[in-house]
Amino acid sequence: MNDHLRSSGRAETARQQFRRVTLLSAAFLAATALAGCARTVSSTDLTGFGTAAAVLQKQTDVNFAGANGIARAAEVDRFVRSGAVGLTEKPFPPAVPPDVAAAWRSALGYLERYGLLLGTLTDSQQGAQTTEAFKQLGVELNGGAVGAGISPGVAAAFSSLAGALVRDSARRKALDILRRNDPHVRGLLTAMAEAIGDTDGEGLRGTVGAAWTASTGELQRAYAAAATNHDEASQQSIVNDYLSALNRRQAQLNDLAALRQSFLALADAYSAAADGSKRPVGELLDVIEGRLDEVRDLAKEIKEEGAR
Amino acid sequence: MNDTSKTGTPPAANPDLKAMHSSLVALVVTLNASIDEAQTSAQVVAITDEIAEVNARVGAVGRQLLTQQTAAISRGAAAVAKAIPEVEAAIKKFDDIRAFVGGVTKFLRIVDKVIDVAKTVI
Repeated sequence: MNDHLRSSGRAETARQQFRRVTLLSAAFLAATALAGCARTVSSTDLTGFGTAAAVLQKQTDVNFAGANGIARAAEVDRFVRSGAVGLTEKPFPPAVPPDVAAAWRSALGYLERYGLLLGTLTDSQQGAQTTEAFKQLGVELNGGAVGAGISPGVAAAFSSLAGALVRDSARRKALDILRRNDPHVRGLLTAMAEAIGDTDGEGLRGTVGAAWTASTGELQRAYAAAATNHDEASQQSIVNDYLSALNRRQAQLNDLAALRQSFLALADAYSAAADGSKRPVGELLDVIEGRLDEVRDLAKEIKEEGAR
Repeated sequence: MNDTSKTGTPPAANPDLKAMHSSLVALVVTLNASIDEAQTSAQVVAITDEIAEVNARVGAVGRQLLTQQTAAISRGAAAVAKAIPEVEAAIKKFDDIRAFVGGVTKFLRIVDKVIDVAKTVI
């Protein structure tokens, strides 16, 4: 009996040692596989980057729709005066070709997914969940049929260490991915900004500005005719319509300029994250979301004016 | 609203095409300004007709420019798309670590139950 007990005792000691080794090995495995310190990378900022890309996608869609609307409206007068009898959509090309709009939507969609996934990778839950998994392992090792005899303090320390290592490793990995892709993300966003145009005389801003000027030609001709006839009432009415059109033109151009700034700000926020420095994306997101509302309001206003 | 801050990247489109687009936009502005000098309704009609013609070219060149610039955007997007599976794999790796630890815990629970059963049988 005693022999049996002794034998069992030796077996138990062996199991305890095995369990200690299991926990230590697991912690060591995590330590060697994941060792190193990560520079700061904020999960909130990365998630915010993804969200900002999604909002910018919507803002871009609304801006493109506005640009297409005015570009087509500018062609109406030219088409009517051309004497053509066949009506198709060919004489009314949009400012932004559909395949271009689709490519931009796709690019911003990728940025959204990329940002949200990086946010998930660097989420503090990565560490917390790992700590919990190791904690459960420690509980099982200490409990059950044969306890490993690991002190709760040591088990808790190992669990926390494993969680911290996983968290740091995840952040280091995210930082590595961020850095490697910085030229691509920055290049993509700055190319979008460049396409929108540095000034109202360039890029899509230039196209939209010219379309607005062309679309007011009808008013300018009507004014010339009214002025020739000394029809002051008509003149005043036409001038009011003309000034209203100028205000809408400037508002639309301002929106495009703001869109350009948002692309550049997002590029800077990304580069800051890739550099491991902290730059709150939350404020940027608030600004971008605020602009989206403004752009939507303007688009609605222009649509309503056009319907009159 | 004009701003001239630079994007810090090489141009994504043919510089000549870009310059031509800007020149056409500037021509629309110049033609529009010349309406100030018009003496007759016929002159206004002639100038606005010219503006309409130039604007049609602005649109055509602008679409070409956008298409060229979008090619650069698509290249960047492809690189980002390529990085997405890497991030997913990294997330999976850490999920796998937790799954492994969870698996060991479950395995030990089963072993403990077997030991308990063995004790009662013995």
